[in-house]
Amino acid sequence: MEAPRQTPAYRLIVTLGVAGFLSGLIIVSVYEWTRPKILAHQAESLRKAVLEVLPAAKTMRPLVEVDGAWRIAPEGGATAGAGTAGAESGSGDGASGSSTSAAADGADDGAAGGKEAAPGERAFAGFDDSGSLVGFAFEAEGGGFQDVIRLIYGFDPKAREIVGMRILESRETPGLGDKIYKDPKFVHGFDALAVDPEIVLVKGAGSGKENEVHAITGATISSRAVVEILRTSRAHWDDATPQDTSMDRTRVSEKEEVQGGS
Amino acid sequence: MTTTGSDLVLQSPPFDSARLTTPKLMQEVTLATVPVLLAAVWFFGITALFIVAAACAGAMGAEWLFGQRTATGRRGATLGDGTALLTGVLMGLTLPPTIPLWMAFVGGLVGIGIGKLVWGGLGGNIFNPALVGRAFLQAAFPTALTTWRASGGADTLFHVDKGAFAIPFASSGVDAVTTATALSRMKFDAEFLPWLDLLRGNVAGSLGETSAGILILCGIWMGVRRLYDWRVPVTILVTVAVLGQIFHFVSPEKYPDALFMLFSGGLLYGAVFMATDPATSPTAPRGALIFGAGIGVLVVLIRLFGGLPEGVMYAILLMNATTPLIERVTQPRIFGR
Amino acid sequence: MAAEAKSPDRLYQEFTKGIWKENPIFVQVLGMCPMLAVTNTAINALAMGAATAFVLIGSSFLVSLLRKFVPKEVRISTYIVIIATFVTAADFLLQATVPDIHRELGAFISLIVVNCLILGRQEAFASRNSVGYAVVDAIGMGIGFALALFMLGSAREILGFGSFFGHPLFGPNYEPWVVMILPPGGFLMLGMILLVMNWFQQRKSRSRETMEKAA
Repeated sequence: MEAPRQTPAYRLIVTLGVAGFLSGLIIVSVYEWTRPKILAHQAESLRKAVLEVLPAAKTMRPLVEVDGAWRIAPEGGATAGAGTAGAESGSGDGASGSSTSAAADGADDGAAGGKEAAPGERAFAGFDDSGSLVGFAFEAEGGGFQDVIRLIYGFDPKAREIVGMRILESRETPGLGDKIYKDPKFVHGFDALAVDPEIVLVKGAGSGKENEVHAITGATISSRAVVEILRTSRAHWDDATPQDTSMDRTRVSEKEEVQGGS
Repeated sequence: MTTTGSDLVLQSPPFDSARLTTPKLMQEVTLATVPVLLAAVWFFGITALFIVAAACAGAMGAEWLFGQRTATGRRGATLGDGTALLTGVLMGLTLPPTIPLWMAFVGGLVGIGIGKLVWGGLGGNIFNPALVGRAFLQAAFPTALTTWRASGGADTLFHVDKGAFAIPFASSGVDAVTTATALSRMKFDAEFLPWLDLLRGNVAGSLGETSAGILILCGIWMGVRRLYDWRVPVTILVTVAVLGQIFHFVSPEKYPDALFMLFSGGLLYGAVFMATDPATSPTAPRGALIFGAGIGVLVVLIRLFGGLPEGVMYAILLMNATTPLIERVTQPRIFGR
Repeated sequence: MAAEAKSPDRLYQEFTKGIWKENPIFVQVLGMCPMLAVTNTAINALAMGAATAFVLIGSSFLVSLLRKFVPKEVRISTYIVIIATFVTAADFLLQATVPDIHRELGAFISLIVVNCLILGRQEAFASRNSVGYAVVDAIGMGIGFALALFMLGSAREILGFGSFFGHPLFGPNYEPWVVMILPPGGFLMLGMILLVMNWFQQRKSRSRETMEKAA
């Protein structure tokens, strides 16, 4: 704006410094103000997804890794469940635990803390009203026709069945590949799907066995991708699912269930 | 535009008047599609005729509505040259037999409207209008454009698909018994149909593409009548056959042989009727060779390594885009410069 | 430049030019990246338009306020810092209030930073005009941008999903025009709208010509 004369360097530095400072101030205050709400939303949508793929479950707790073994996080620790997730995680503390580094916050009740898996391969245990274990929910991801497909599925270790599946994220072709979450026939094909000896994808009528998934006409690749993701995830978790839930004294019966099932 | 320039001979005047004018060329090519249309009716029933008619109605409607006016201001000055009709027929024949009629109509409308007229009308377009219409339909209604029905014969001649008469903007609503095409069975099930069936045409596929035998005959007739530059289809077919056979030698259980590659899908139809469009293919002989080879390579790449089972349409459209460039490179130099 | 009187007439002009005569999308053809990517539904388009308008108004205000203090050597960097601040704030605000829409818009919220419309207004207008005009100009441009996105978004949603603001319009049998919700659909729809606008413009100027000839 002024005459074309060299501006001293200190003025340039001061200007940018002041701009950076002001900008930082604004961003930090907005961040502090909105963070609890954002975390609450994230926890809530995760809880919804888990409870959706485990229809019998009412509450949930994440699985955490302690000394290389997977266990169910102790109650009262990091949990996104417990019915009133919104209010509870509004405090910021509970919510941060559920979405990032689980049990760390809740470790003060004496139980050993653990590490939750990275987003994308997290696992959760679901409990019904009476507090007994009804199954596990696993996040899983893998390559689809276009891009990575992320999904979550519920697994009943007693019946050795997948009891529900929901696609969390996919970019499959609209009209064809996106039927993996838009076609109710395909989605409900995972409501009672046996995993033994292994999940197979069939075209056409199939033979009516319980471990069969019917491929979507015109979206064979996307259907195959979903089955492949489930198979890989099963192979990974089948040995790793917690055998010992003794961290919680009230869950003795459920411990037997898990062991009897696998 | 009026001649295909396959016999460029330098001569001094006087000249005789050209044998072919645009309307006449269009008429003869349209005539050449009649056997294909009849085959389509034989294999897929009378519905085929309705679909092609709907596509023509869309194409000619667009030409009438948005095309040039006559000197007196009446609409439809360019309808008479027959290009809109031909575009409609050619596009209609690329559609699957289960498509609702209104979609065929929209395809014709888009093909002429967006594929031709916005570029300034006949000769101004870069892309083949019929393929633009089909590409739009493929992108807009992927399910309807990939739902195939098994072919029939005399017994199903007067069978009319209920889905064809779905009200505009509604899906066909009928869960037709679908069949995979030869190419998708090759791609997803590694299963190769015998080439004799492909030659006859009693396989699933788009209306006009299934009967390889009739397409070959039409192609030869058009070549003899000099309706197109024979170099284009011949280079396409030779390239596909040679490349396909090479891959077949490398891994016979994974890749089909040359005959399957030639007779399946829309290759013959595309090579004979689509790639030869004089407005969107190079005129110089050397250019025609480059153009045809490019299409052939792209077809093989898309079919064997791409995500889609068939790639003739995209291969031709892509090479259409390179036509101005090819023309520039292959333009014969003026003597003395 | 600073001592100009605020005439209501000029205020009105600066306000309306962004909405019609210099519409960022339809006339200046700026900000194509968000236009193509997020106008697949009316609500996404509206959210994107609102976020962009928020950033534009905020940055125009600050840039105009600071225009005397910022040396011209670092003006672009300063503008970018200011714009980025508002974009980050908008990102957090959307995430906190409408998480579903935020998920749909994804990375395109952060990409408002590089929307040439915003930097363009700072360089061409806010840095040369007083705060009042700058803000009015930003409001006009923001509304024009949001309206254009909304138009595209509505048309694409109606064709591509058969719904408007998520409410189905045509019943279960509607066959969606899938291409309309993909980026090519954005190009096609924009082209068609421009076609219609130019056609009207031509007709108007032609009828004006014939009137002048007759007179």
